[in-house]
Amino acid sequence: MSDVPFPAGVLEDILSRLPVKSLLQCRSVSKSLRALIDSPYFVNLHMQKSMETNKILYFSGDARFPVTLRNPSGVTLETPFELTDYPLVLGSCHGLVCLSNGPDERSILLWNPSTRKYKLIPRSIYEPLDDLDIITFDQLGYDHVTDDYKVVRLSHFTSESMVFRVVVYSLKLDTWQSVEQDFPSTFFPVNCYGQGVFVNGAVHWLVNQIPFPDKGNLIYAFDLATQSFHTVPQPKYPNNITATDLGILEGRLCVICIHEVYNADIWVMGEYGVKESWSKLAALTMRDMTTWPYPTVRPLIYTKKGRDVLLEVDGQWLIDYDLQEKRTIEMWKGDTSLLSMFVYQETLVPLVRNELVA
Amino acid sequence: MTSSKTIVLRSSDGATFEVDEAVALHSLMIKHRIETGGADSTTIDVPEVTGNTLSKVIEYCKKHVEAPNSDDLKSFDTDFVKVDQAVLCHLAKASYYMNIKGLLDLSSKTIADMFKGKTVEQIRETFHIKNDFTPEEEEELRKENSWNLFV
Repeated sequence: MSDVPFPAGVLEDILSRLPVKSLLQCRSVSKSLRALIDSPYFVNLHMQKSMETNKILYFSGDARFPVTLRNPSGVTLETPFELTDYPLVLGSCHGLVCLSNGPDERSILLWNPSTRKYKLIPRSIYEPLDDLDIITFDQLGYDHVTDDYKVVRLSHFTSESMVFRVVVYSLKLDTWQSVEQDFPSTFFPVNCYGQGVFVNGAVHWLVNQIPFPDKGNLIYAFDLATQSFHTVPQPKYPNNITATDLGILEGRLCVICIHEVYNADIWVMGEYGVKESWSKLAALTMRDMTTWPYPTVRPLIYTKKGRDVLLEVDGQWLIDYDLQEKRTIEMWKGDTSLLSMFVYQETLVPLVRNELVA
Repeated sequence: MTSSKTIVLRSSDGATFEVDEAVALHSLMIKHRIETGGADSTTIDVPEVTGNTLSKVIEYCKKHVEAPNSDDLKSFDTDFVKVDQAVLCHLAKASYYMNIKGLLDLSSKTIADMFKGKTVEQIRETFHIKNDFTPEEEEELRKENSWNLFV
């Protein structure tokens, strides 16, 4: 073996292909290797490489079994924090997952499942500590201008008028800040699964336009970098819509349109902001499944090299849908009544300041 | 009829290899040298690479230039990296210096796979990296990674 060491460029190239688990081990090899792996430059290089491989984890539980975290093979994994009854994923971005884990919905944390580091997010100064009459919509996103991870929160005090405030938590500053631009007082976010979607630098919600319920819902978005709002055009829906919801599939915005109660159409926006780029990805009928009042369908990831798409229904079923044949290939039911899947990327992205390790 | 021009590549230890220009151009470094060098540059020095390694690199380039769409290209690549670790590392370094992306990807990926199964001590041995941590620091790191078994 030659004594000539690897040029830095080659070593970086090799290391950037390794899974996080191996890289964490390589940190123990030498000080220079640790410095390289911990460097923001390398974290970013590795993240770019791992963007093609999304991973899935899920929460499983019900009255019989306490909630556990599991991998796709069904193996239970330890979490560095204790899991409460209904952990809710509030966004997954660059390997960081935002989770609400009790004791109330506004107790949220940021977690990197690959490095196993997590950080509790401080309470927002804009909300009284013990007021339970608050409705909140939280979603994690990334601000590319300030290189910061942020949680955008819409909050509404039920005792007040129907106004949603917008506050943003910054990981870098470890504080909540109020946003100058108001959320329109006639807009009311519809309860989408996971409370919003982060795509293309903005957090998106479906909003109902009270007092014009017949106008239908809008897709309304908050751009993290510009701190301003914009609307996104929707595809042309069929008649007899029962409900619509937002989703995300490998970085692209989706809408799930439930019509005539049992039918779900999934649309994907090929090019952000371009109305003509909406295309129908899948159409399913779920007449055989008991759902009330209508099914909640969520696209998760492509599988089989883009041939199929994995869908979650009502937090209980998984469907493997063939995109070419346009039909359901397989269906599984979770073994507990909760099956909350989330997609994340394996990265070394750190949780700066007040980082906790199990 | 076009005349096929040949280029001579000279390794660090003075070995020379005559190759078709098209094959040599698979290395972006050589392409750049030819384009920026004078009209007389038919011999190109590659001082970062020894004769043995250069010969293998040329073999790779030949296959990929002359038969890029052949069915056995994939199996050629797979067999190409079935070499001992030292040769593999030389190939990675050479492909980096000579700017041959396909070969760098191939050798890097193979070396990365080698990393995966090894312990910290084995990694140090294989890649000749000196342990400069104190025993206390090592213990600290070992504790940090003790959960690694689960994920």
